[in-house]
Amino acid sequence: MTSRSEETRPEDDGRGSPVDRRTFLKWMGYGGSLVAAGSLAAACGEDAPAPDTAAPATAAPTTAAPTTAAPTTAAPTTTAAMAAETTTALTEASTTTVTVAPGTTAPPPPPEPELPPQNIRLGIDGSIQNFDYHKQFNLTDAWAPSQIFRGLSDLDPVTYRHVPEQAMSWEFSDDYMEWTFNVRRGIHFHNGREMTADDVVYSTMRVLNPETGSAYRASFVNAETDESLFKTIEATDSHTIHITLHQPHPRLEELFFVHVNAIMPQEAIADMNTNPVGSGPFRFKEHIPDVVTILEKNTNYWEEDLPILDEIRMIPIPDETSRLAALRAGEVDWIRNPPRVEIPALQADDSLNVQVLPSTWVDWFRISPRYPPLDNPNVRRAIAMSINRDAANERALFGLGAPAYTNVPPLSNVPLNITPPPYDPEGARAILEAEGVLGFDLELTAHDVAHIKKVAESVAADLQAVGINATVAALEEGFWANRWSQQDWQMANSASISFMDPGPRSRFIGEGDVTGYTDPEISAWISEASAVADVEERGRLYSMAWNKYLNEGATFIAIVAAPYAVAMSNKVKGFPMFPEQQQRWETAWIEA
Amino acid sequence: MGAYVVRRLAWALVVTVGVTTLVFFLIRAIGGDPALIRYGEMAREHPELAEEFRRQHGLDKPLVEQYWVFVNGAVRGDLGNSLYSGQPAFDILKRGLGVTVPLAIMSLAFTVLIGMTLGMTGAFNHRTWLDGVASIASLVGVALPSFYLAMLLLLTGGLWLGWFPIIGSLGIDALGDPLGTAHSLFLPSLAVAMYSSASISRMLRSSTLEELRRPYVLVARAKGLPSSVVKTRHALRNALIPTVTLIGLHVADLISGLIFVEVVFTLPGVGRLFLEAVSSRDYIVIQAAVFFFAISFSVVNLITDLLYPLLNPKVRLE
Repeated sequence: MTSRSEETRPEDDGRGSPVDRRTFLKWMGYGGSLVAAGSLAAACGEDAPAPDTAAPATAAPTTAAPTTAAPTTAAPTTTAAMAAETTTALTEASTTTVTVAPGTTAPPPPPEPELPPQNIRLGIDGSIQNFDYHKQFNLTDAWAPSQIFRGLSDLDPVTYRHVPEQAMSWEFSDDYMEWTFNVRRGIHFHNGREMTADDVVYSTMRVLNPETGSAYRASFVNAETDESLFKTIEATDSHTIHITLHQPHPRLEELFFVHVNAIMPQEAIADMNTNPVGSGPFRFKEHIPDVVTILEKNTNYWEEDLPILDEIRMIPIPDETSRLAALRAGEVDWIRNPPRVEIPALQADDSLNVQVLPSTWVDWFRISPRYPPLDNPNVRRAIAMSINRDAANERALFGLGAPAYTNVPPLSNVPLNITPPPYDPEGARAILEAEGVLGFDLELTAHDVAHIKKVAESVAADLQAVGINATVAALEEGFWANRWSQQDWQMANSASISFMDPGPRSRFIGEGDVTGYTDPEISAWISEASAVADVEERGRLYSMAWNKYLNEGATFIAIVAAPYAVAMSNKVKGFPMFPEQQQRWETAWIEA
Repeated sequence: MGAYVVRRLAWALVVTVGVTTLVFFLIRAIGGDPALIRYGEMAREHPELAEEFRRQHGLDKPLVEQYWVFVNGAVRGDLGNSLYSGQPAFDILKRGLGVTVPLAIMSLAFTVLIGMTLGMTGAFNHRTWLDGVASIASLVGVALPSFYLAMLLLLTGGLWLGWFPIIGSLGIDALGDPLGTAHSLFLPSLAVAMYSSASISRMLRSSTLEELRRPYVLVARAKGLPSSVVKTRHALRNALIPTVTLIGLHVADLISGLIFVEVVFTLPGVGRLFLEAVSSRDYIVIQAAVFFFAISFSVVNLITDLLYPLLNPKVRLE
């Protein structure tokens, strides 16, 4: 067994080095007395003890067990098989039951019976600031809590539909007004107490409480009245929750997804932000702000043989170049969002596994009808016809994204049939001429972050080409937010990441249109679609709403759907990709 | 001397209070509501979320009242809690200082070592190839921005050669493991030091050359003093006065350099904290970081002034 100090030497990482260290030091010596003795000794001295944490590869915890046995007792099925086993069956004439066989979310078994130490290091792009999942607002803050907590339902990695997780099953009445969730037995919180229906009721009420300040409260209330969707929610026994609703909700299970309604034990709530206690596959171990967050295996997890990993270290590396360098140097095993320009080269690297998936991140523009001539639907239509989405995809995303016409993600589980205004710069110019506004000034208020500014620049170039004097005002986050909230913009761009269902996204063009543009027919279709369970019918209604909106002077113009990319060592296996960018590490393992 | 130090410390206090007050009002005046940043587009559809956030953090109170709360807390050592993580700003600052202080010390050491080595090499070997090499090295140092240099060092020393860690944050334990800390901070310190050391070397070279042409040097040589003694004990000592002033001034460059280098090398120091706090308008953390920066400048300037009499006995601190 290799000792710790030997493992930590940077030169022993097997990458080799084109220049001998001593030669280099000699050059440095000749070059002038530049080197502080202490630093040099630490950096290059043969006898100097390698720092414990200098090479994170060795920062393995004492609990690391290099002889971790691969799960062999279970007979796990593939995720595709899992999807097949998810059934929707009518149990009675008046109710429907959704259930899933226990243990079916296990991954394919690792091929070798003996595995190396199952400790993984993730290079994440920001610091985790909040572990209280009910109060989480950004993607980075979700990385750790989504391993610590879980909900009654989860997203299937193949079908992207919600399937039971900590619920054994759920039932609903034909009119979707009454729901019963059956909590799986034998699930324990990390403090050892068994999870019960009371915990589900408590967690739900906490999200609903305005004082919690949860962004997910919006999912539980009527958007117009701000009243709770629930008429009653009660635990009818230790593992059963019965819910009655004020209005039909055919997809109530989505409100019990971990990202919306993580189940928390009431007794641990006071310290939830610093010492989170959940029932997920990994337990909170340590958090050093801006340095590392350490999670350890929940050995009492309800799903047999999972998780496989013993420990997860999440290391914030904000700079994307540094993140990639850390992966290539073997200091981390997995990174999110490698530099997009590097992705083709990374895909050709045999030592890495790079996965790219269309995400739910959509870049869009809003056009404000408050500023003439943007109050003219024909002018807005001309703007929509001017935009070359393929060019924006190339310029801003190196061709890795996809043109978008709505903000419903390309991989949404409800298929839409969209026929947007065509890309027709000449037609657009003709409309502008006919309206007598050729050459008008238009400021594009853009976020000066990531690729969003580049999308704005691409669109500005398109608009200039048809005779609009478009300029880009790229603003830092705070200034953008101010101008956005005050509606002090003619055309503003940003991006949204959300869930797969078109419902919340379609609110952008319905009652939730921030520009005040409303069309009763569109709103009615969206409202009707939200109360329909049939996927095809929902798709038809949403398509009608979007098509009318887009072709009659939309104030919302989607441009591109950004890719979700991760790069990892090719020894990391079993990591599922979700367009919503959730992370599920319980099925992952490190290959020998 | 004692009275001078007390007076300067009093001024340092005034400067710290002044700068902190200025930043307190300026950061609020420039715009960028933290509640809107936190909730983004959701804040328009659900303004109650932003309202609750402002209420919870006292941001809905009049500015003067907010300032009074800040001052009242600061005099008792309570700088408030971060608007986002909820942690005490003092603890956040203390953690950041655990990285930034050793990084600043190492950077300053590199600045002085490299700057003086190049400057002396150039001056004492005037119009030789060594002078040319030192001058070119200085030019390169001035021309390369810290951020870019940091990237180059990270890729060469960290990735290609593999001698230094890329994720510096994991090796920082200044008290428990000073060698490990030095190892982690070697490249970042070098990146920060290069610009300042280049300008210091140019200043030292020109001022030393100027001193070497003065009559007292001719006299010293005529008295038969060895050339090395004339150069180091006479000319160099006098040439150091403007150089020390410049080193003091370069502490400002050093701190701004730290911000970018801490991002590139993944170091959780005060600079990175400050940058992230500004972009998210975490007023509390911004104020804490500025408090630290103001104190640092004041102390460094005081130390610089105190060094003058040691270099030149003709200088009196009154």
